[in-house]
Amino acid sequence: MSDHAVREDNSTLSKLDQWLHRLERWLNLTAGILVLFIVLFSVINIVGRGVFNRPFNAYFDLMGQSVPLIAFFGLAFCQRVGGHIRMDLFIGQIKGRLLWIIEAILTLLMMLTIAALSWGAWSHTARAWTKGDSTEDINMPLWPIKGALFVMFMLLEARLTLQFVAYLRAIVTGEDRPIAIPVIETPAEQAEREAASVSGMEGR
Amino acid sequence: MEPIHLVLILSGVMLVLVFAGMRVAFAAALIGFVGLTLHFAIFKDKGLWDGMLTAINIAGLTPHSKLAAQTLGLIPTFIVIGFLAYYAGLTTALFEAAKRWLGWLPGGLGLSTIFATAGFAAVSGASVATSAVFARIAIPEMLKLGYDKRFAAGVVAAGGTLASLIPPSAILVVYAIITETSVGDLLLAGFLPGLVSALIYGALIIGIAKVRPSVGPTVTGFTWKQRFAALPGTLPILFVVFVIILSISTGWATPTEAGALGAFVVLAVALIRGMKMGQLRDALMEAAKLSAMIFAMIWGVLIFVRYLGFARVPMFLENWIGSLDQPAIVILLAVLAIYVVLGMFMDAIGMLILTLPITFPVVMALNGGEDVSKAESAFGMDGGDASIWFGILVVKMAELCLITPPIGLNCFVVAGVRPEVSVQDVFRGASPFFIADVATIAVLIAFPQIVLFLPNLLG
Repeated sequence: MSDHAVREDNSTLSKLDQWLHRLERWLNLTAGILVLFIVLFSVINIVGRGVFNRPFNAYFDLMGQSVPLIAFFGLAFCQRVGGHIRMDLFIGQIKGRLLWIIEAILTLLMMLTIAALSWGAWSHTARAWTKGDSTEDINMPLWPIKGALFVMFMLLEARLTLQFVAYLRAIVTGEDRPIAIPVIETPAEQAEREAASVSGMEGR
Repeated sequence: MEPIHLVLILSGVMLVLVFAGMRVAFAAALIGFVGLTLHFAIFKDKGLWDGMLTAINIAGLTPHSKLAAQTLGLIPTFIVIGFLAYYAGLTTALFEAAKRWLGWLPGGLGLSTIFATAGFAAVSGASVATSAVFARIAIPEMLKLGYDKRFAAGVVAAGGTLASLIPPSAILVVYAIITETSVGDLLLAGFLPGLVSALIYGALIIGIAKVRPSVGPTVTGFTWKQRFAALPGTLPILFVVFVIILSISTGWATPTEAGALGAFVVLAVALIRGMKMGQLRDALMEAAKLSAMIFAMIWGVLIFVRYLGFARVPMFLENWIGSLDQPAIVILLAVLAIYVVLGMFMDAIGMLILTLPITFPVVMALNGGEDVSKAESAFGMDGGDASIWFGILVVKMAELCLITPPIGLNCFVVAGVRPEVSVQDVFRGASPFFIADVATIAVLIAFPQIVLFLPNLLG
């Protein structure tokens, strides 16, 4: 499942897209490292409990709070590369301006959704801050995690806004392969990409 | 207007949005949010503005409150095991071992492919990737020995579908979260049905090769020494399976810890076999992206589920099912048939997450409710067992859609990897396996013990 092709050029929009993508890639890698962290932390916890009879009392709290971060640090990256699941049986048949109009509308709806969720995430962060919400075992404050979710929602909102502008631009220019948006692939193209992404792994 | 009417209208809108190409996670979150807003505005007399504020409050809390759970660490863990398993060389080791042990049977290499994919399924939950990898390893060997190319391609496409049933399976964990079923029990429950699926596939291959020997010749000439020599390479897989069963049955580790231990072993093997830092980074990037995608669908749909809860949809469904005259089994079959149709057009995991909030309460109600006893139930099992049984059935249904046209992704992947085989060839080659899958589902419905034996024994 490697990335969808996103065309780039020297325009301001594309440069913004590339800059944002760098940030998204970095955050996605952070999520990946967090996955490695929960793997290693769990093993250390098993050994600590089984061999030395000393489990970490922070284990459940830290593990639990890592999951939302793993879920959200890659959120905007996934949107940039067209990774969030959708049904493109219908939209895959449409071409040109009509396609960009539909995409723009769908993106706008997603922006509204994320705006509402960002608002909600922000008010929960503020509440966790003022009320001093914390985890059960080690009293870890919850506002940084909730705040991180808010920031990730905002980053996704920025990504969606950028894509929305790119779709509007495509409606005006009417081009086939506009910049800054993932291109829809046929099942065959998708399969080719999947196949390429695992090539070279099997002969080891 | 009643709350349920609003639910029906909004569910219709959601379907339109999904079919129009809106990302499933966001379509579900949007409709959940709009539903909550309208529900509080209309039925709780809050007015539109206050209704919206309440909805923002509920929807905004859901992602953190539902995801902050140690159990959910299993999803990225299982995903990363799958990516690392390639680098650990487990695929080639499995195929080689299966070939030496099973090659002498009719359709020997086809059979080896099925059991190698089943073995690989024990470390990977990714059906499509499994098919892609085995298309590279198994198809060239089969073609070299004069195997029919449709047959060879069909075997690989179908073999890949075993990944979701045999643990570690991310899709089973997703089911457990949405339906609040025990993760450990579900993982145990997947083993035997996965094995039954593999055996039915195996019987089919032997049958086809017996009727038309030219389709799949045998491979002979391996000594016992060579056979045993092929086994050590497959040990990490046995370890992962062993750790998961042991931890869940004895309770010495949580399923998440067991999954992590499995991932650790596979990572160690991959590093010993010379995995480079760049490859580790790629595996982590892919695992993180896939996790973000699956988690987005989970929190998106859970916002929608919150709305369904406020609109009392589960209760409505229970009453509605109670008023139907049809036998429970007929309604269950109708529900499963819907999955066959949906599966033709939708991605497996998206389809499951989107439909479970409706189909799960329906099936639970059919059986007599979540707290029903075995004696009073329609399917002869208590509520807890029914939720496990249905989980395995729907996951098997979701797998079925990977080999059905028009978008059966496994078939496209096999054709994508092997340019000499067309997509039509693969679909045709896979069609007998579709029938085998229907047979498997019939067996699992007729003998729920196959699903429930391990969780009842060890869970």
